Formats: sequence, structure tokens, C-alpha cells
Amino acid sequence: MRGQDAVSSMLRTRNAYTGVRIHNQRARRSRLVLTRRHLFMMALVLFLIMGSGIGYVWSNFQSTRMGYSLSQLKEKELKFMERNRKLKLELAVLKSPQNLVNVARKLGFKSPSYKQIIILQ
Amino acid sequence: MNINEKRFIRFRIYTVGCFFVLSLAVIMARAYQLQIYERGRLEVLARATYRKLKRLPPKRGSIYDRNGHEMAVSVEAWSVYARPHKIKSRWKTARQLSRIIHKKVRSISLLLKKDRRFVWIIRKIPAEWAMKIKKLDIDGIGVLSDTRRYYPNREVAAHVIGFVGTDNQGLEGLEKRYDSILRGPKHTLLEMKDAFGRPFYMDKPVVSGMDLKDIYLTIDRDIQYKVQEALREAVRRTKAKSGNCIVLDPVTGEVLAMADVPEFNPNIFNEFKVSQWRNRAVTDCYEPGSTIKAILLAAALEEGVVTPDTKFDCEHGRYNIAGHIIHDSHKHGILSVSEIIAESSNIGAIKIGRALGYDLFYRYLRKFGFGEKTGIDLLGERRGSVRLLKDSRPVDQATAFFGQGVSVTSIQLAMAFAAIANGGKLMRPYVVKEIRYHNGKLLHRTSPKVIRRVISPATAQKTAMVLEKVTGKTGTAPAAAIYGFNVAGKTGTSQKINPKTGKYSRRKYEAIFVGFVPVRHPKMVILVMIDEPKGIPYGGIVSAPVFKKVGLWTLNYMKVKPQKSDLSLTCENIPVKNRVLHKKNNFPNDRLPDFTGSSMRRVLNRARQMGLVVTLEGTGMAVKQYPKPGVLIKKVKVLKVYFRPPA
Repeated sequence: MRGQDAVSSMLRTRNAYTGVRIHNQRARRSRLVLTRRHLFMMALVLFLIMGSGIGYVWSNFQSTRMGYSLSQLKEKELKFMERNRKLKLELAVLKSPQNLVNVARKLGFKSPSYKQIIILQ
Repeated sequence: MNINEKRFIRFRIYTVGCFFVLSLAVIMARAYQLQIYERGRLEVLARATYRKLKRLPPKRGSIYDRNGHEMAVSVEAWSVYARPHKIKSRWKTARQLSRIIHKKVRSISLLLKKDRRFVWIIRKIPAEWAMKIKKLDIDGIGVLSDTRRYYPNREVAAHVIGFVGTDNQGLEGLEKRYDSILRGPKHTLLEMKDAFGRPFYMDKPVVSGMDLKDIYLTIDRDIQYKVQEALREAVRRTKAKSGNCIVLDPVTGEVLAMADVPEFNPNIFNEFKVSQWRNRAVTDCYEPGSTIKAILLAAALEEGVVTPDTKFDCEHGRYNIAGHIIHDSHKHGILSVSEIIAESSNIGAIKIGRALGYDLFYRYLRKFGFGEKTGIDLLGERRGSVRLLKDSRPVDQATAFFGQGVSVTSIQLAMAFAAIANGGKLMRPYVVKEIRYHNGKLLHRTSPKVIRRVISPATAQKTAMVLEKVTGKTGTAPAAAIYGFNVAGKTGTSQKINPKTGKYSRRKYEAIFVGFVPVRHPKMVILVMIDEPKGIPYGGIVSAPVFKKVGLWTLNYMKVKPQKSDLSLTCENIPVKNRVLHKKNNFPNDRLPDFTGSSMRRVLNRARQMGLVVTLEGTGMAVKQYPKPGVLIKKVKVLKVYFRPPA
């Protein structure tokens, strides 16, 4: 009992010069203990980081590649649209009354007389 | 290991550590400078290297006729420019370009010689030429994408549509009037290019077609073509100076055709005189001559001062008014109002006018729209003029009753007749039916607009009945009569004023015919005006045949059924081989014959002669008909005939 009191009184001692209370305790050595769960989590985090990195690079690469093909397709679309406009214009010229009359005359067609036209219901 | 060695090792460790820390600090500082401090400036610099704004040629909305036929469209073209200060060999460049664009070397060289930073070498060339020039890769020469306006129907409706300039700006006609609507926005295309100049990203130039607008006209391309053809032929035949013709729907005021001769091709408008670009139907005023008598008649009937049978003494073709002698082209004695109009007696018109009074006549002229713009959506419309009572002497008042001293435009005169045809309602004429977005969504539709009621429906009907006599055998325009239809109209032959003498010329006339058909339910008003025809200048001889030609064709085109059976085609006048349809056909002329055993062609011909509406079923020979043979033709509304192939 006395011995214990001596220890506790030692622990409560103060520095003689500064008067600051000294807490002397036995040093505890910490040890890293990796459980299976820790290892799994670490592997998962590493995998996620690497995966997202690769995924980011891959998606960038894909986006650029698709950008190339998209711009090519866009160019093609513009060209086709213009071609379509030109073909429509050509069709309009071919269907113009002047052209139709000329073609009909060349083929030997004649305008029907009024009496030849019968309007049906 | 002594204490010094230990210290040296520690020193080395600290040195390397410091080096790494400093290096990292420098990198961090540089990263801060690039990423944060100078971010804005550097971003702009970077964008400039990989982002390019590609300018697409400015688009312009198309113009279509009422049936959706293209009248004006824009397609891609290319323009070649030069930066003269960058060109090393002027002659060599000029020769190279000349081979492709077929332009004289000298003229290209002169352009390259100019002391400017930018000159156009040629505008609106085909893509093939542009690609060849691009391949030459000459310093200081470049090609730019552009658009070119095409008018596929060439002269058809050119005066109405107008044309655009080299910068796609509307210069004449609807192209100018609706320039702000037709002009599309300038499109730019965002393009990103890699180090090799290959595009790897392109933004959409247009999200939707909502911003580009197209115009749909009331003009019918086919009617317009036919009108221009008939008018051109008449102007050529009469060796006239010019002519114009309007076809419009009196019920709505829609202009179906508006033609002017001489014509021009808007694709190459520069090759024509400026005077040929003018739409004379709205910009030119002239004296309406005797056509104004129709307005006088309507006013007098509306006011109840005369009836169609009221008689007037036409003074045997000579009448003195305040010392001025008025003549008629033919001497007439006592004539009824109907006869005065049908035979176009000037003296008779003066007498009707005096019964009405000039003041009232003036008011009716204004009510019919003379002296004010019709409000048609075309540029350059003129008002014309009508003299006020206080400004006119007795002789001026008298001559105004047969159209002298009054000036009108063709569209005013046509609309006044349309008011008579339309039961007395004056409509606003228009040529633009709809404005649609390029994706087809409707933006605006022009609705028919009644300006005012001018005369009562009863007066309009009476006036139409009197005007119908003008195209009869005793009228001034039998040449305007259309087989199978009742035609109402009025001729006019007005003397032009000689600008040198200030008096009426004895050589220069304007021949006018304006009328509507059919009289009961008018489908169209047609006005024909031929300026300075050579030879006989009468409207009934010069303009009436054009009316007939246009009217006949248009009625057929619009599938309007004949309304009166021609007496010359009754059974007695039909050739014998066509007359006997079947041995059982022993019915009187007013009864429905037996069609059984007849071919389809024969049934149709015969039914048409009788003015019947027919529906056919099957093929081959007629086997059955409804109503049955022998029924009164008058009672038959629709004849149905069944056919079966012969066994």
C-alpha cells in the first residue's frame, strides 16, 4: 500500500524549477496491424483511382476520335444538303413551264382544244 | 562513422531536400502563373490556335408560288478575291486565273494592279472553278463561300418577284419589299483543329430552321406563264410598246397572275434596260377610257337615277358641251342605258353622268378605290388621280364620264371590277399568301380583307348583267366571249397625251379590256392593257382576244365547268355520225338520251354538249345509266354511267 502511494506521489511530482506538473507514463509502442478488410479496402481504392484515371484517358481519347468522325460527317452533311438544294433547283428548272412546253413541242404534243377537255366530277 | 561524417551526410540530405522543395516551389509558382494569374490571356492565345470560326454563306429564304413551285431559290456559289499587295507575279497570276474563270487576262491584271488590300476578282462562280483555283495555291488569291440566287422559271413573274444584287440584297419587287424577312441570319460554324489542321470538333451551324423564312405567293406559276405568253404574243402582233395583264380572284383579292411585257430575265437582270424591270401594273397610270363607264353605270344604278332600260338620246354621234364637240365612234340615236354601255357611247355616258351629277360620280370613283393606293404588297404603287368638282370645268366633268382626265393604275381598275364581281365589296389585293419558317411552320397568313362596301349586291348584279352585253354580238367586245361561259366586261380605248403639245395624240392609244367570268359566281377578273398598239387600237379588238385566251385556259386549268350549253351544239348541229348514239335513242332534244352501248368518249362528249356533270364507273361500253333515258335534262344534276368491257 505504501509502495503504491509512493508511485502515485512520484507521478504527481512537479518540476522543481518550473513548477509544471509532470505526467510520467510508460511509453506505448504503436503497431500497424493490417486486417484483411483493410487490405481489401486499400485494393479497392487503388483500383478505383487507377480505373477512373484510365477511364478518363480512354473517354478523352474516344471523344477526340468521335470528334474527328463527327466533323467529317458534318462536312458530308453540309455537302449533301447543298447537293440536295442544287438538285431541287435543277428539278425546278426542268419542271418550269418553258422547259415542259419545249419538250412537249419536240415530242409533237399539242395543246387540246377547249372542246376536247371534259371535266369530270 | 565519426561525427563529421555524420554531419556531412546530414548536410547532403538537407541540400537535396532543399533542392526538391525549391524545385517544387518553382513548379508550383509557374503553375500558378499559367493556370491562375495569366489564365485569361493564355486561354485566348490557345483558342486562337485550335479554334476556327468558319463562316457559312448567308442564306436567303425561298419564294414559292401558291402550289409550292420554286420561284426563287439560293444555292451555294463561290467568289474569288485577291490581296494585290501579296501577289508576286501579276501577269502570271492573271493568266492562271483567266484559264479557269474565262475572263480576259487584261481585266484580271487591272484588278490585281489596284492599290487596295482586297479586291473581288469574280463573284458567284461554280464550285468546280473554285476548287481549281484553290488547287493553284497562289499567294494573295483566295476563294470564299457565297450564295447565288436563281429564278428557275426565268421571266415568269419576274416583275412581281424582282431580283437581288451581288450581296444578296433585294433590289426590286418582292425581293426588296420582303428583304428583311427573306434575309437569313449569318451562320458561323465553330471548328476545332489539331496540329495537322484536321478538324476534330464542329459545332452545329443551325439548331433549327426556325430563323430562315420562305414566302408563298398567291401567284399561280402556270397561269402566270400562260398570261405572259398570251400578252407577249398580243404585243408582238400589234407592234405595241408594252402591255400588262392581271388575273385575280375577285372574292379574296388574291392576284393569280400579274404580267408585264417587255419581260426580263431576273437571272441576268443587268442585261436588260432599267425600264424593263418596272412592274407597270402598279407603277404606271393611264386614262381608263370607256372602262370607267362601268363605274358610272354602277353609281347611277345604285343611286337609282337610271335603270338598265332608261333611254337617252345619243345625238347621232355629235354633242356640244360648252363649245366643245364630243363625238361617238358610231352614230347612235335613242339608246337604253344597257345599249349605251354595250356599244360604248360617249354621249350616252355624258347623259347618264349628268343625271347622276359629277359630285356623286367623283364620290363613287373614290369609293371604288380610284385616287388612292389599293394597298397591294408591292413596291412603287401609285395613286392615280381624280379631279375634284371645284377643279374641273364643265367639259372636264363631261369627259370624265368616259374616262378622260382620270388616271388609274391597272390594279385599281381590276379591283374596281372585282368589287362589281364580288357583290359590291372592294377587296384589298395581295400577292403574298403566307410566310413560313423554313421547317414549314406558319408565321403569317394574309387573310382576305374587305376595304369597304361600294355598292349593294343587287346593284352589282344589275351592273354585271349590263356588262355581259358588252361581250354579246352587238357589244364592243364579242372577241372576249368565252364558249360555255357568261362573260361581263368593258372595253376602253384611251388617247394618250402628247407630251410635246400637251394635247391628246391621234396616233397613240391604250387598248384596255377588263372583265370577269363566269358572271354568276365569278372565279376571276382579268385586265388586259396594251400600250400604243399599231393599226386598229380598239380595246375590243386588241385586248379582248387576250382576255378570251387567258380566260379560256384558266377556266380549264381551274376545272370550272361550263355554265351555259352552247346552242350551236344541240342535236341538230351535231354531225350525223355522232348524233345517233344508239338505235333506241328516240328522245326529244330536251330529254336525256339512252347511253347504253356507247363508248366512254362518246358519252363524255355528248354529256358535255348538254352541259351535264358526269361520273363514270368501270371501263368498256356503257351498260347502265342513272337517271334513266327520257328524263328532262334540266332536272338532271349529275349523270352516272356504268361501263363494262364487251364480252
